[in-house]
Amino acid sequence: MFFSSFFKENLIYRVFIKKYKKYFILGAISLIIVDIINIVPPLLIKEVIDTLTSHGSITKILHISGIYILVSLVQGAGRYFWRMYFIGTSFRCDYDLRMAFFKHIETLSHSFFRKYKTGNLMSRATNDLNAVRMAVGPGMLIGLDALFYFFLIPPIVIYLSPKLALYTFLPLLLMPYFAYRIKNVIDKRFRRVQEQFSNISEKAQENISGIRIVKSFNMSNQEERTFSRLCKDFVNKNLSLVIPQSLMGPVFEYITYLGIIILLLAGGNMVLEGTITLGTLIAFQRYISKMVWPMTAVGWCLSLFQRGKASMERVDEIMDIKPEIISSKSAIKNIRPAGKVEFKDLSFRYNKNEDFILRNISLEITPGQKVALIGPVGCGKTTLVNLIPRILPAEHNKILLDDIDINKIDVKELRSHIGFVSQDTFLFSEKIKNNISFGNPDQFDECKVRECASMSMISNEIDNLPEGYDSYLGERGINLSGGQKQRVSIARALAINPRILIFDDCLSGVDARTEEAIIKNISTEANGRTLIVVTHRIPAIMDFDLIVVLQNGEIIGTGTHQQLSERDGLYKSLYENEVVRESLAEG
Amino acid sequence: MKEYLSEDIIRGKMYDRTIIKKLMSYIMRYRFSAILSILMVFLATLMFLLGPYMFGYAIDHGIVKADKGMVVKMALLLLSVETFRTLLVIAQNYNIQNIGQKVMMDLRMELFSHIQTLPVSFFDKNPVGRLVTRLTNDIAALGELFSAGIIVVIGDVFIIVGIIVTMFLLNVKLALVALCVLPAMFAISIFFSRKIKIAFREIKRKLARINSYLNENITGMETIQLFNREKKNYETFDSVNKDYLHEQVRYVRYYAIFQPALNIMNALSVALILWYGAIRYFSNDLTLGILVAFFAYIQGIFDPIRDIVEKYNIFQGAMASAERVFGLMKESPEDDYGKLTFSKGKALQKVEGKVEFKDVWVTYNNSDYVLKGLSFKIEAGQSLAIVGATGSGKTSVTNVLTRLYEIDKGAILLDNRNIQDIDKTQLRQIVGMISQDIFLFSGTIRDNISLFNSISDKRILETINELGLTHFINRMPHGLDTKVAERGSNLSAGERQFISLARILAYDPDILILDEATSNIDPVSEVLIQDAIQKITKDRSSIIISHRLSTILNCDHILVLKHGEKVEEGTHETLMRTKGLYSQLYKLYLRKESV
Repeated sequence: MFFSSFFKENLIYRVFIKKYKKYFILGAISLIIVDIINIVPPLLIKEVIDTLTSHGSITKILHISGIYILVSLVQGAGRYFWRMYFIGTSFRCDYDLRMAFFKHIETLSHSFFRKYKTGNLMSRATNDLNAVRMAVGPGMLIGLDALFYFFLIPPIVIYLSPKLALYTFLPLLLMPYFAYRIKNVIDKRFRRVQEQFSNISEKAQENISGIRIVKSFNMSNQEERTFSRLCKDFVNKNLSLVIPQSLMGPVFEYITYLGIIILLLAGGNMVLEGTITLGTLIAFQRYISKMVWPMTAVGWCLSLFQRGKASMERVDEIMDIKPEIISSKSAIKNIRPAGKVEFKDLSFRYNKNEDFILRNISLEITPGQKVALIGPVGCGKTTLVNLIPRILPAEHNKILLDDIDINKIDVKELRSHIGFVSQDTFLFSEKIKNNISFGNPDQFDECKVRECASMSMISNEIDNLPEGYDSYLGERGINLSGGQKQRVSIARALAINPRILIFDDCLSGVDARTEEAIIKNISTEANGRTLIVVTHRIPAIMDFDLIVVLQNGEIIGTGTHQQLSERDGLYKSLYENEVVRESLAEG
Repeated sequence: MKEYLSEDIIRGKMYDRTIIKKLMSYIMRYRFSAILSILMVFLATLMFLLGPYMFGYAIDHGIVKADKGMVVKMALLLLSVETFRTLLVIAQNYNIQNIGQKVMMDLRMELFSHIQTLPVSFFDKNPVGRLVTRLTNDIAALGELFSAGIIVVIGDVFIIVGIIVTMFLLNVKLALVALCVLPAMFAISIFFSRKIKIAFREIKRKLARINSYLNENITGMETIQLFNREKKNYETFDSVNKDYLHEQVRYVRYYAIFQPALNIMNALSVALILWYGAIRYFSNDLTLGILVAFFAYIQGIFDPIRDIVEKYNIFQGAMASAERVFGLMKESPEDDYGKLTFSKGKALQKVEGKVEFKDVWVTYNNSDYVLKGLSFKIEAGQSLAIVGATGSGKTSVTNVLTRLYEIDKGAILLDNRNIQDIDKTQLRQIVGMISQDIFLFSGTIRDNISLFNSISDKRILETINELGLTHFINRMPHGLDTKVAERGSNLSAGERQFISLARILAYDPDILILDEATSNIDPVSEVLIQDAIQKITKDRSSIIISHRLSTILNCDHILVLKHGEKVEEGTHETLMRTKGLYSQLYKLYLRKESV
């Protein structure tokens, strides 16, 4: 069981040995040296005892003492090396895996992140990778160590006295059996404890997120009752785990002592009979104590492997997912787009068995045109703009940039020409200026940053911060309001000098006047940039070149504000609603 | 979901008097068990020390003197001592875990109860994940301190001291020689425990950095890809990760030196025993048995020393957790919570339901006012609709009436009594609220209607029937026993509304606040809901925030808010006649409902 799982366990080969063969060999050599030397000290003690009983010379004992120290020095060096080679290298493997994981998820797109939530991915990148490391580092080490012990100690005790070896080592065989039985019980109960722990955690989460309801309905008594029931249950489950757990160590010690008592009885007799020397008896005592470790190690090592394997499978599940968007080598690398965007009879759905979100969209946006997409919630506006920078995959020849199929353009190249500001703005916990120059980190230009910030109408607010552009955002830094975040993310999109700017309803947190000012700034500074804006606020885009009205995934009208508002229809009613709404809010 | 906050990293003060004192007060609740535990550890240590001595005695008086009977006698004695010790250790393990679990439970419950009393504004500032971590992982770390920490270390100290004492009792000179490495051992241990402590803290910090970076990057992956930042962020992650790797390798190296160093010290001690023991033996000053016992003792002193160094990290983590847990316990509860304020004013006996706002000003976190001098009145049994654009302060009205938030200026009167003078729990029994986002608890539909109060099924079904929603319950696969999935994801928007309406009727408040959600509901449910709302508000003073015209039209009075100020007030007819904001809003709603 042990051998097969050790050798078939290609996890260790894959993660550790393949990459760090040298370290593995060096580690294994130092381990085997340590384990071989491990046989020596009991023999030295035997020599001393035998010398004493036979009234040998003190110089001999002095020599033996010297050898004893020497041996332990060599052993110490060996221990240093195996620890560094095995455990140290296991952290390198951990590093490799984590980097590979990161690199891989960087290539995955929207549909992947829709399926795998952050928490799920985090748990794979932390807990699972750690379990893998535990298997390839400590797991492998313990396994090898136990293996060497099994090969080295029995021969030496049999050599010293086969009969005594049989008597004294017999009870030790109880250990693996006992360990195996108890381990199963522990595992089962441990899982129950874990489950209960997550129940507690869920209840706490629920209570705190619903604290308003809890307070409004005076529910804290009931909540405390529920929570206390969960906690009590947790205590009971823990205590039921404690029983087998607290048996483990003492019972092993007890079994060892049984061996030693047998040694005293049988060995003592043999010494009196003269079959063995007293020194041999003492040496046996030491060997018995030494065999405890490999006996317990087997179970430990197996469970580390089991967990490592299961975790590796969870990591592999992610690593085996093929990126949706692959740039082939033949992809077009250097384009200088004028900014023409064309949709040709485009339809889109997330999955084969889902409904279409977009249907037969045909639209041509000429370079430098200012286009607005309007329509009720869920009409497909966001999906449509997400297709342009290939956040979502479009079919071939359905979307063209300057008459080139966007799928033929290298995705990085494509994105470097598109300034995209999405609905939910995401800023990083870095300095504001680094957030603005996020798209061009290698050529930081303070002037450019300020210019983009002022175009996005955020520069005054940044200047008013105590540390200005050097202020950190996020948890340890300052918290911007929703509207401020949106404006920073607009500056970020401007800073890459895109030919095409896409605003996906990204001004919802900004008041109408500022919104209009931003759009005006961008329009006048646009120098021929194409601008595509998704919005609810019609007044801000009234003077756009083209307004496209979407409903249920279809284009139901195009034209200028003038043209559209003359017709009765969705646009007109949306517009009138908006005017009333704004007059209410602004007055 | 776990949140990865770098704030949660270990600050690492090892010893803090106030924290220790606080922790001790929890242990003292179980002082009998705790003292018993220490006694048991003491006894077990004595027996542990007996083992090698008896083995040596068997050699000296049995084997060397060729007394078979003595060997057997000692073997049996050893067997009984060991059996007893094993049982003692098992019992002691159980006992200490028991204490640890109970302390953990006490702490967890106390913290949970304390969290219940904190003001809503506290929860606005503190993310849920952080508070959950306090209740779960931080308390678990403290539990570990009890179960795996303190007593084990006490046991270790007993063993170290016990071995030293025993050695001196057996042979003073040999003990002196054998233990002359001890100061070096302690020095090495102290030296490395410091290094290890620092490295461990750094590891924690760097791991927290990795995790928060990873978390942020996964969440913001789309932005990274859009701005072609993959390479750059990979490089940053690489350097964060490498930092961590180097710290880990450093940590491993400390252990790689520390452990062998202890081993070598141990070997040195054994060699000294061999050499000096031989000298004493030859001068008939020492028996073989005692020499053998010395080997066992010197071997036994090594594990506890290593153990203590390893426990250091647990202590450190637990101290940091304790600091955070007790820090949270120090947060002050909301005003007038849970003190039944008969002292402040008599509890309201019979509630008529008159509500009056008198020049009420409200601000959240000292920023701009969200309500600016609002005054209005609701007569008993009347209903008031509040309308206005998003952010006009509608929800704030409901928040201050239930005192989820406190007002800054002005007064709110309930039956002519200032609500400040009514105990909060009673106030919230009088004023019931249906909020915009319907919060469902995991449990059954029954639990969500009764809110875990003991209400008979008959009552609940009556309530549902009263609302005309029996049909809805019959449609559920297991009726009232139907499980509600996390946050009610297995229920439609309409069904969730049904539950919240039944909930409020079962709660039976004197004054009702209804903050209606604008979710899309199928027309059939819509009619049912409208009908139910009518029934609930009947004969009850109510404040209604709605986007549905029919609901608003059913109210006795309408209040129009704008930027936290009252702009219009009156009945539908009078307001339509003035052709102000309300009439515009009315058109907007009318149009929306016709679309």
